[in-house]
Amino acid sequence: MQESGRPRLAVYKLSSCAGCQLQILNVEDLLLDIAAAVEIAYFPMASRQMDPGPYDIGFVEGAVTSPEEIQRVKQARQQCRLLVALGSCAAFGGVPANKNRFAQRVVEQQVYQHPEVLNSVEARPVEHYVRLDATLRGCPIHPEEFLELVKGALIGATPRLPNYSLCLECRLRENACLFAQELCLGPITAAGCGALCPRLGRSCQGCRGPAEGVNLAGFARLLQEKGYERAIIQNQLGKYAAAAPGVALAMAALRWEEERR
Amino acid sequence: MSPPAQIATAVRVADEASWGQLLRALAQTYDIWAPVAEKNRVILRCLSPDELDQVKLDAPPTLLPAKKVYRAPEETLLRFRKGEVEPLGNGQHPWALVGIHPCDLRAIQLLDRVYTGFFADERYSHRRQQNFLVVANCLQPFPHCFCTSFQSGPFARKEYDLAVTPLFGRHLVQAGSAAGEAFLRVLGLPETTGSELAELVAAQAQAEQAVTRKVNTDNLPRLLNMNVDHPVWDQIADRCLSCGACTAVCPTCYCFSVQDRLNLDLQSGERRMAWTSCLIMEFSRVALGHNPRHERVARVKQRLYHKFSYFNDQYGQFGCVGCGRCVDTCVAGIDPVEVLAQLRR
Amino acid sequence: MNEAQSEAGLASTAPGSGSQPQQPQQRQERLQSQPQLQPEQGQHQQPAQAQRLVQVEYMARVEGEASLHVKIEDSRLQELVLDVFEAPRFFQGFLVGRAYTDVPELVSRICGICPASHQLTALAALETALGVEVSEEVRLLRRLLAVAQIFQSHVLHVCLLALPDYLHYPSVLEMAQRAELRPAVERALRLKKLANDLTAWVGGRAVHPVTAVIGGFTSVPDRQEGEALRERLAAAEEDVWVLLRLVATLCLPQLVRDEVEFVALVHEQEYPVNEGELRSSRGLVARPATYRAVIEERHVPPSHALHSYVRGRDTLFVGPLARMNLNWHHLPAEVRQAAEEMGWEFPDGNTFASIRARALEILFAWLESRRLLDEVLSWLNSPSQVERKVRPPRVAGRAGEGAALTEAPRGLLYHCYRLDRQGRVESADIVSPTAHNVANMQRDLEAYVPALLDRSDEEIALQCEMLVRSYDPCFSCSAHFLKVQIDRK
Repeated sequence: MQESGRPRLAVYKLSSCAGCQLQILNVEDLLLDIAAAVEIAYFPMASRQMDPGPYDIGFVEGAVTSPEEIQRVKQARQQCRLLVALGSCAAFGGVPANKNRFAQRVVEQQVYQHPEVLNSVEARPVEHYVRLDATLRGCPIHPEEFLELVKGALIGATPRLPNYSLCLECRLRENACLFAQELCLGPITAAGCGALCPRLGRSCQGCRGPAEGVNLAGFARLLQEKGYERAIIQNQLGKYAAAAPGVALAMAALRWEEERR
Repeated sequence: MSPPAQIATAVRVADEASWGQLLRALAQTYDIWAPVAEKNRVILRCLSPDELDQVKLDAPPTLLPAKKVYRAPEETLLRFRKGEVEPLGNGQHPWALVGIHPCDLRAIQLLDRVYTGFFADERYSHRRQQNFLVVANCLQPFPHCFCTSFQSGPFARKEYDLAVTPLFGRHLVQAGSAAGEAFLRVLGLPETTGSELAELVAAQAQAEQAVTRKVNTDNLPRLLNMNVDHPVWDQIADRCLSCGACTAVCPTCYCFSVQDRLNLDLQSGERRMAWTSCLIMEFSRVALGHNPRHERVARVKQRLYHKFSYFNDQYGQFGCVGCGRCVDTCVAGIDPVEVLAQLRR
Repeated sequence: MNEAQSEAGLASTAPGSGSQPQQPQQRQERLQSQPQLQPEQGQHQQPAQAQRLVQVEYMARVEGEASLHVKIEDSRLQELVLDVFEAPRFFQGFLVGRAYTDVPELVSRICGICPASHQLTALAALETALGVEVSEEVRLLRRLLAVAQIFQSHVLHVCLLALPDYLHYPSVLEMAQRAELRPAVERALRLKKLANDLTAWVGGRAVHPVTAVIGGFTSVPDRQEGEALRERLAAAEEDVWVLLRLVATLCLPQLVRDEVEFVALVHEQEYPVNEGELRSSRGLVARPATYRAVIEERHVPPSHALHSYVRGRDTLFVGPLARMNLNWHHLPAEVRQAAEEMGWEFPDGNTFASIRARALEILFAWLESRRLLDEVLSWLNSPSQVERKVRPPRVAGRAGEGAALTEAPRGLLYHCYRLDRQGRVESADIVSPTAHNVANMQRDLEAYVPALLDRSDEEIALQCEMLVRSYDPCFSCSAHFLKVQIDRK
């Protein structure tokens, strides 16, 4: 910390849509209070002032998809006492990891006539390269959880964020269950969004990634029993969390069981 | 099964108009909580006086059971500001729960054992004393009901203020408490002397027979304790997703967690209580990270053992009322009736 | 160059190396840099230096990542490189094979600032491909969603990203520390929150809304919340005007290029948002289906960029300024009067006047969202009827192709999809507003910098940044370009 005694905060961007950074600015009611409580030392999207590290707490938005980003995330780790994944891209690969289903060159050719000049690697979550101290889930993150984390950093305690299934949260809010009609990822996705989509008549798409301790393999099997094709299950589980722990394993188990039959 | 002696008090007959009158009279003293059907589901909620016609007596089990009115899924218990605590009181007007199913009524009695026993919960007790219970007897079971196995339905036996049975276009109303009796007297509903009594007895017998899903409760705790390694546990642990939905909807699951939330000034904040579930990972985690129920199978077993064995050890009753909500809710189709039957095979 | 500088990430610039395409090694060095501005210490150490290098390593207060390199030799602009180093995410690549139902949700993630625009454009394109018609109610709700987002995005840009330049602060947070500016900042934040809440009222949440789907909405907005929003909108009038008047006090630089071609949608009855025909200040006319006949992208190695050009002509300029220039008469009278009051005239060819167009569009968005909100609230007297009108129909996947053009906050947005018989994506083509603009940005910079050569390096850097920022570029949005680099001999 600096003489001011305020923790110094940094926000890094990797491959992402900037929506999670925007969520920080979307805490309009408290934005000025946050800026008074912490020193926003490095946040290019918000400020031209980019003070050098070290920082007390760093937020990384985005998946790691290029050699430069690998360097950057390693540097972020060195610069920050606490490093936090800001959203599902940083936490689980997020939407960028959808390209991992294809060979890199195949995807590149869809977009570029001269892919040989590109320099992109498989999309990975931050933790593939460096240790993380906390994770903020969601596509986008929930501003409340960001606040909890900042407050936690101020008092030196890890905040307790929901790490159980959305299904539990959804039932407690008495939404009509959509599982029978739609492919809903509620049973295995982490809570914390207030069951937003089911409340609005849409099945959970899994943007907060798998909750701790849920049965991903069992869920994939259940979906198959319900008649979903493996490719659909793969697309759905991988939409926001292709690189989350357990997802690849659950899909491998499904494939293995399919082959055994 | 149930002799006519079960119908302890006089039966009064209310037609559609006097039933409405009864509700309006209740609404003068109490906030009315009742099952209503809206947005493709049935929920228990507080009705405004002009919504009383929405009360549904023959509705399927509400998504959340009656426990939610005694302990909301999430509640703020107190607020604090450095050194000062502002308790938020026990809240709530006196209210009437209208149209809860007999199984849910039984569940309230079980929760009473937990929350007003040795470790009395002031907030819960206060709210319990404030309420007036109108139970609606079930004529038809719903697909997953197995209340008869735990004598918790389909007709209520005791501990209600009023019981209502909608039969042949009328409401047959009985008082189960002094407060209920007084209320009916003031309302001046006629007591029946005629065939209604016999109809009620027949309806009860018929309703009981219609509940075909059964749990054999003979020596059930012992059976469970002898089968801790039965293969069925691994089979259901394979299917259970650990989502915890079953515990959210269970009328007797009472576990909650408490968390303090600071405001950004780091001086003030609030203490919140929220329901939690033994099926989620963090439930049994202790300091330094050890978790005795790290394996899913341990969590699955905990839930069922608690309902059918531990609760019995502690309170002398089963912790299940056979409402069928967990079966209805489980996307993986896990059914305790089925699991317990397998243990006997 | 000393050690401290190289630690700070100053790229070494051996003579002649500047025009090489940037190698990863160099980029890594640059990415490690902290300070935003690295003039080559010219003025102090080498006063008579012939070569100056102005570098903005990491452009601040834009969405996404870009850098700018300007090389000046013998008082002549030698080289100017606007480098968008945002890593590519290959949306068009990984969309292939996905069910059409996944598309709106996935393309939303192209940009966190204008997610609704990408969703709504994809929905319109897919509905064309699938032959789905939407009700008038859906059309209006979508317009409200899009207008709310323009509202939010413009307040964000004007107050948080652009104003600090003009008032000489690094960010809005420093502005808020000045007692005389604090009320204006608070007003701006209140407006931003209001616009976000409006978006969330229709879409479920402000960033990546969830309710808009093929053929309709999965839920109807809540009436009570809508009434509360109506009150807040009415109360926001002063905030909007304070913001407008603040923008009117700014002294804008001037950059007019006569040859510039403004491109925007034009609609017969209304100010264009989700619908209209493509028009330009130089007579271009196209519809979504004929877009590719008039706009092309060039990919010239070793540059990594895909630049948009008008076929047979040059670059194009999209965005609020283009919209205003081409749709002046479709603006509500209040907006035109406000412009007159501020002394602003349109059409205006000055790139920097974009901030005025944005301020006026904030007024427009405020008026339009009030009008639309009132209309939606009037339906909500019978919510079940609305529910029927907006409920998404069952749609079967089928082969087809569909394109759509909309006006996102930053300008013209194009989406086009071809579906196979099961309704899976066979190909996707997406051109974001920033992708449309980036070549024009380069042209603007090349025209602007020569006039700045007598200024300090820091001032040149700031002016260039301000010019780029006046486009409100969203480099995250540029789904399919990696880097802009222009070599000139």
